[in-house]
Amino acid sequence: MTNIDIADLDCIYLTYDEPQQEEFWVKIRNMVPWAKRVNGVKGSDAAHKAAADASETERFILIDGDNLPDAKFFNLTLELENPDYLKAVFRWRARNHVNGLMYGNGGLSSWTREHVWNMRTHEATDGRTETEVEFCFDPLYWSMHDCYSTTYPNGSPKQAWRAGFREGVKMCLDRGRRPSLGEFRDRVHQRNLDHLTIWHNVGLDVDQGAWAIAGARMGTYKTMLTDWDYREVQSFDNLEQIWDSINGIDPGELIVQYQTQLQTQLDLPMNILLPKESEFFKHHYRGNWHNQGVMVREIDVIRKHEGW
Amino acid sequence: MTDNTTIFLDFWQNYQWPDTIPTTYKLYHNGDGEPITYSVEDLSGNYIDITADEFLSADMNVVVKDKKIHKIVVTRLSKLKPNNDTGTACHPNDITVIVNNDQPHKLWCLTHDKY
Repeated sequence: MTNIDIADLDCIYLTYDEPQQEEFWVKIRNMVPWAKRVNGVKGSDAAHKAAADASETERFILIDGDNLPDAKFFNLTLELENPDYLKAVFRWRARNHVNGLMYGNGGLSSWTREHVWNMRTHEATDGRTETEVEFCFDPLYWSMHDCYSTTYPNGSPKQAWRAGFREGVKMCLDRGRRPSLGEFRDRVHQRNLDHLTIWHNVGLDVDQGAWAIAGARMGTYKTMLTDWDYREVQSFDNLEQIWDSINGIDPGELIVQYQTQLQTQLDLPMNILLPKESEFFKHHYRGNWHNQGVMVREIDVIRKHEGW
Repeated sequence: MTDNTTIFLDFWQNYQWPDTIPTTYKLYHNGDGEPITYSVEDLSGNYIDITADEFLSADMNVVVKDKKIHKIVVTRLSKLKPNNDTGTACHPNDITVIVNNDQPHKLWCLTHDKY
């Protein structure tokens, strides 16, 4: 067993074009004075490698540009039980400020430099379907149960649209592959469909929430109901082009535009919540959430729950 | 058109976009001008408006005077020095051993110098 105090690890704040990055950087530095910042590196793979290069410790903590950690996280200790733990990447949940979802998207993570330097994802895909869109299918990429931060993907219309669009695409996929219309319900994990539905309908109570909803609906529509190449979702340049094509359009129009087709062709619930309803939903959704320990994995909880 | 679409469109037609509030950077300080925190939020207490660069530097080694930031340039050096008259009686060969004044000793005193 190897114990590592998180406070002994380097902490990298990874920013690109997030509108709130300067404000968050000051808050993070107040919380974690030893934090370092890697800014403006284009592409997820290159940015992660730059973060690894900046770290002076073999294992390091990564904070995404739109994330604010809970200060208590830095008082915790990682208990690494065996060699797998020593090599693994941990991704903890984050609370999403727009829609209240609580999963790995935008959450704190802990990487080893070796893992980052060796990984091939997104832009540097090795050709496997799983790695073309997401790196979470790596067996040493562990989704953790606990939640230690809040993600704010709504600093501007573009940021909110992009966050919704990306999740609207990714939540449709079956291990990185687009399912057929017939497979959609059966093959896409139920939890993904739950998350997708919440992205599609919740968030009008916060700034730019309408753009996040419009983005999520558009992402799902383009992925499942057009011949658009969903692998383009990882390219910021391609997302920029799509954004340019809709910039200036009222997000309310986009929300309504995709509603009927998503409902009739994919049988997705289109039931947008007004601001008060969104606020109510977020207040009560996961209202009784309790962390179980920084090293508890999602799979451990599922196994316990299902009696494996 | 579904009921929900109608409800949404009714809402959206009357939707007022929130005013875009430009980010202002602030340095909060106590009444004596000593910095408390840098923030973009509206907190209670004394503050001055500062530039984005000043906000980014988040320098706590400053003092606020006349609504402006002044860098503290005084260096204060604290040091233990031997003293003939006052101070703590320590063993003549080991400062970490405190002794009584009636035992052989050397007096050591903490001094504060400004440069």
